[in-house]
Amino acid sequence: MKPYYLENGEEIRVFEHSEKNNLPILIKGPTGCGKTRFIEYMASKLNRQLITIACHEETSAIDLLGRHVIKGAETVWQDGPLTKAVKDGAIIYLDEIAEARPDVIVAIHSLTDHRRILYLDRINESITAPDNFMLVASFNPGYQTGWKELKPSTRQRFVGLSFNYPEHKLETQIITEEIGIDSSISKKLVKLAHDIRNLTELGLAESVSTRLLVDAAKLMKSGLPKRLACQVAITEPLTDDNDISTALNDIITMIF
Amino acid sequence: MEWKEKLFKKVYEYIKHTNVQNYSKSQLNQRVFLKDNIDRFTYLARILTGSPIEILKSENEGGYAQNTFFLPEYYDKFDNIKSNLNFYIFRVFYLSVQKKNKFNWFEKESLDLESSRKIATINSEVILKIMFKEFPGVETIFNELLQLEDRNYMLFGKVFKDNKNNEVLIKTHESKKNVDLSTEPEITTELETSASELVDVLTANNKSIEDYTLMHSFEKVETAEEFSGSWRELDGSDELNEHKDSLKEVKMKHVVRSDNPTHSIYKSEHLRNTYIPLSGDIKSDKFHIPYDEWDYNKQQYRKSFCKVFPNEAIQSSSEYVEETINEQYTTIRELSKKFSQFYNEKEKVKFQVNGEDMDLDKVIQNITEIKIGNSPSEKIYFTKRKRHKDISILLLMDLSLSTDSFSKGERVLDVEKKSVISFCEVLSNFDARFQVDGFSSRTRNNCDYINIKSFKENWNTSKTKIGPLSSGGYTRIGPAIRHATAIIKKEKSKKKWIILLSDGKPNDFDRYEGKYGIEDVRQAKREALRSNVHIFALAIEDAAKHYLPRMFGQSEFKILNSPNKLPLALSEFYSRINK
Repeated sequence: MKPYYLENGEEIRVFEHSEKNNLPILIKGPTGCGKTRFIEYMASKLNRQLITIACHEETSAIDLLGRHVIKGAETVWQDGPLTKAVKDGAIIYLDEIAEARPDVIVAIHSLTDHRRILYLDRINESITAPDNFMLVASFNPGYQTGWKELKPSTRQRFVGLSFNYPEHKLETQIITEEIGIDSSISKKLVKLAHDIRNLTELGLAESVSTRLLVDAAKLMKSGLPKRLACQVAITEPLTDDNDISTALNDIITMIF
Repeated sequence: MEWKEKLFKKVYEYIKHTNVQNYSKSQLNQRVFLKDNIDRFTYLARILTGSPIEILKSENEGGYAQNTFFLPEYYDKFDNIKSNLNFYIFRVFYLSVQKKNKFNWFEKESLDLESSRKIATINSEVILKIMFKEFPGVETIFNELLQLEDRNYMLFGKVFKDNKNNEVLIKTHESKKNVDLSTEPEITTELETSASELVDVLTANNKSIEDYTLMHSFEKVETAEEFSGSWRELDGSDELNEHKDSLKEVKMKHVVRSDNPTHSIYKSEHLRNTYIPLSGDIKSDKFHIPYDEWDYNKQQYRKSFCKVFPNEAIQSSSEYVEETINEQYTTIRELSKKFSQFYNEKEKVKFQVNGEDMDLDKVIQNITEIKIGNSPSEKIYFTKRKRHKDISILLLMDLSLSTDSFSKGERVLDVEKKSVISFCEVLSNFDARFQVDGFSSRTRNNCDYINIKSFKENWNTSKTKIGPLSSGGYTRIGPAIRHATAIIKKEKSKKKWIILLSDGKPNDFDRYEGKYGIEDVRQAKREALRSNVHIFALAIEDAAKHYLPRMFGQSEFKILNSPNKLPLALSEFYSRINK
């Protein structure tokens, strides 16, 4: 089934053209604004297999490329997800690429330029990527400023797509259509979100994401009282500060 | 005190006393005070308006002007806390909607109280309509409030004269006093009063002040009213305590800036929206370093705008340090423990030819390599090593006059000094590279930067200089950070950190305040980052949590209201470094 996605700009066109021209894409954007959903949607639209790798601090090149394992007395080479994606001509999605160890970045370098080659040093083998292979990576610039940034030499290998939370109208439409909830409720949710997004200046690490709104709407649809749904799905995930959460709940009470 | 004043005082106290008796006991118990909920309301207002709103207590019903909301000190019309609290919530929503839709008085003429209340009531019709549509829940509260509250002005406040900032260029002169900070006058009395809502700043008229003697006999008549154009001598003598009751009756509508040293402080938050002085350029012969300042309005630098005068702290006394070390003994020990954990923490180093343990993964890999006919790697051991602590720290102390005030029963400056001493004791035990500096300013032409201990100096010989440090001047944080950055930049360490200890708000005599100041500090921070210098702020006052995130980012500061919070605050700092 095709996942639900509503275009928020020209991203679908950009993706299709990058795909046609074998260019890798780097998607930037805050948590829960629809990056992953977009890739899923594009993979299904282009009828391609999607392999997603969530990168973390311990993600190393070996995890992506493959390793030797012992099977009985035999040692066998086992392809990692990246190698598999290159061989199969799939779309590989490296989520939060800035988190991964530096050797991951080095390993994908030769894949991202005109060579489109993946070199497996352990088995001394090079694989040339077929045309339908595509590399997509994402990172969240606001999240770890100063501590983990992508090097310019890496960033310049990608076509950049910047995501943000959708406009009032679009976001309302997304919640309404994704959950199948009354549009008057999603309108209120979006209004609440836009008010709270003003708070970023105050120092919430992350603001209300579209995902949180969708979650709140889901809870409402399944029968949880609206105020409670907002409190547990929006206020609690956002902050542990008592004053801020009281203030948020004040607003929720006044809107719903 | 004269007999007339004594009589006034007696009568005043009597009236105050009978006033209080008018309240029933239950009402007093249900009274809701603004100060108890101010954080909650501040966040609420900021979310609703999207602007950095500050809430101050008002003289009467209140209203808003620019980014400040004025609300009554307390509310007790209802006999239950919930409804009294609802009054405030209603007012915050109302003011937010009012502000967002710009309902205020923007004309040139001033309004008297009655007409400003009247306009507010007229405006209320539209504001309520907008508000009920956006926040249906408010309507219920409003109807509840209407049952008992019949004073329109309490619900809708009054409109304020709101205008755009216009800059007036005034000349400030270089401080007559030399940089020795110990000559600052001693503050003997400090009182706090309600915030004054709108204040006009008058330029002192020296001619009139000289004429003052002639007017002397009318002095008492005048204090009961607002400023009427007659001047008196501006002196700094300490008579505040004797006059505090009569002072409370004075409307603080006009204030004046004076150079005279002062011995009493009558504190009041106010909003100056008449003019903001900007200091002219002054040449100085003393050695100084010019630094740019960021003007966020124009989004560009003011070239060589600030003059920083580097100085050495000279006075020294060992008493203060010894006392502090004794007093903070437990803190220092706890901090040492944390540090030894941090410094002795070992990290696993893999891929070693020799080591304490074999790395099982590598052994398997080794065997598999042999099996498939490759030449195996010999690096199959791992070892544990002490972490290499390649770090330089510059402690930057705020020495402005505001650090002379008290927070939670302790003088801010003392909290700073004690924290620095405790921290440095530990740092020096662990052979860390660090420097201790201080700063204060009197306009952009006179930013003092005092070196207390340089990176090269020994802590044990420098620590005696901390005790005699005294406060004076203002807090121009930007140039201080820029100068500190220039110093620490030369360090060869891989990690360079400036730790700023301050009571928080950037401000200076000449326009360095509010958003301008905050934006300049942010810019200074960005510049530092470009030189790979990081900044961590330790704020002494709780209120700092409202503006520090905007200057330094969410996790780059810690509130430190007592030296014994230091271990906690600094472990946060080290967790930042270690990432």
